[in-house]
Amino acid sequence: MYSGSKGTFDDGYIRYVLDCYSEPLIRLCYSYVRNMHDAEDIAQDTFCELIKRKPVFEDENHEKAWLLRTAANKCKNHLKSGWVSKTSSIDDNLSSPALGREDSGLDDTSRAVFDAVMELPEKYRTVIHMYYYSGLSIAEIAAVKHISTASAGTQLARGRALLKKKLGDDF
Amino acid sequence: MPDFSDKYKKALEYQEISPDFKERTARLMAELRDSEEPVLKTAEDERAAASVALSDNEEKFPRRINYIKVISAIAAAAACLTVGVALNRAGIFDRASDLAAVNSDGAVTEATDIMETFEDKTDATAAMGAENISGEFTPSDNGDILIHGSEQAENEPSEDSGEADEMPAPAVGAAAFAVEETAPLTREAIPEENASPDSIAGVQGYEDIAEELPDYEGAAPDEAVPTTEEPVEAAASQNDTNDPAETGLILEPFSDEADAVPDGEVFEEENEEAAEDDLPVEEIATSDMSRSADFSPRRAVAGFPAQTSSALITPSFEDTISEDGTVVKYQAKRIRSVTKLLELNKELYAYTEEDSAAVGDAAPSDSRYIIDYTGDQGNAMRIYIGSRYICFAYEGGFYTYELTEEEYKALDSSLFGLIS
Repeated sequence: MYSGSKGTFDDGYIRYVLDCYSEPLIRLCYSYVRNMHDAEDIAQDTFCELIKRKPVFEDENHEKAWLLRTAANKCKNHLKSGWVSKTSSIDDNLSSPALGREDSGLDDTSRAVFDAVMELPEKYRTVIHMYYYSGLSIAEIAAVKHISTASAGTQLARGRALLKKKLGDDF
Repeated sequence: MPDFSDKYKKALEYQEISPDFKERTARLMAELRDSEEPVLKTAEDERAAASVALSDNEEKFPRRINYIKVISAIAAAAACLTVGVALNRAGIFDRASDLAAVNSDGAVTEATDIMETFEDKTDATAAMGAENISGEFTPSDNGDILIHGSEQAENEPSEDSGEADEMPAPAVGAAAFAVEETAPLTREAIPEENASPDSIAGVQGYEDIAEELPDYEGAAPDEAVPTTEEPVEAAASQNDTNDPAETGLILEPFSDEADAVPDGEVFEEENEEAAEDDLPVEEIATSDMSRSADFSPRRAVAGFPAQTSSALITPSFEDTISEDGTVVKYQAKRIRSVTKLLELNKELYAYTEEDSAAVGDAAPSDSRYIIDYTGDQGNAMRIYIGSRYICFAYEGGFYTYELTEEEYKALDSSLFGLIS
């Protein structure tokens, strides 16, 4: 049995979890909600859920999958909530000042890629994010998203096709 | 797509994460962890302590705990019983359909008052006994109770037969004796709901009854049924605030034995009224005035408690829709709801409080509404309502009050609301 939590969830384990999974969770949440503040809040909720549930993990992959899956579920709940569905979100560039500034040092190509991904529909956007940023396999993506492997593969293929249409054949 | 992956990661990493995110989250997680553990421990400790205390108490004070349980059960049962009695007194169980209406405070209060008045009167009637009213009631052929006597003696003097002289039943005395006596209607003639106005005429007029029962005076005292009438005492107690003419109708023993009254258990007023046959016209007119003064719409209507009565409202008018000329004819409707009956009762005497009635012997022919009250004791009363009057058919007389246009409009609105 994986002994990462040691069943105690002490300060050391909390520090370890935050160091390992803060950024991946926040980035995943951002791919869903496209707002950094909301993404941080959802990631924080995910860590709190870990303390409340005190799950026992078999290994690191299990631990990572649990956190990603919990974060994905919370993002979906957030998008379905009344507040989000009845209000329009702020423009992505406003919520991400780094991308909005011309002197941010980010080249045009990277900005175009980022914008193209963020403009994809949610199901394709998240699959692309998990595959190219988180490095998850199609099977892991399917597990996180509660879909079949075939569906995950199809969504990935369609997402790629859409990106190609937007970005051209350079990628 | 290696380029794509790199450029996407690069762009994502330009999204700044709050520098204190880890600190905030770590503090939050630690607090959450620390707060949950003591709560769990405290809950377990309290549960354990409570169980220990309970077992200790049971060991130390077993009798006291048993007493408390028994007393709690008795208190709960008493509370249920009280609520049940209160609901029963309010007539909830009699009319389950009116449960919601009766639950309102005003309706309960008024309904309870009317019911108490009705019970008082019934008790007083029973106490008087059948002998006192031997001349007042005669069972008809079909066993129903018909009310007659005073009016017949008064309105049909001994020209046709001398029997009336032998059995005088003066109007004032009868009115005093049977304050709540209903109009000369038969109890069997209660029309069904939605009956036409003609069929409602099963309620007979005074003249009809007089013709049907010429030998009313032959009724034996034992046959008299006191249940349909109200005693004078009850009426007097009810009308403490009324005018002196009404309060003067108190029972007094009959002392003059010259008249052909067998038991002598009749009223002085009856004997005085018995001489009305010989009175000149002016005095008869005065008698009518006294009848008018004796009559009270409030008292007459109160004889039909909402809990045990119903009212059939028969409209006798039609409306024509000007657009297409359609004629709308309204159906009679029987009102059984306690709340609606209470409202109707109020409406019926609201416009007659300050006025005195004009007494007549004929029913109005141009009534726009006819209301027939029926009580569970077989009492019945008819009320005619026209655009200018409201007329109570009561004890064979017709007591008419004039209405102003505004009063009629208000009354018409209420009645129309009840039938529509």
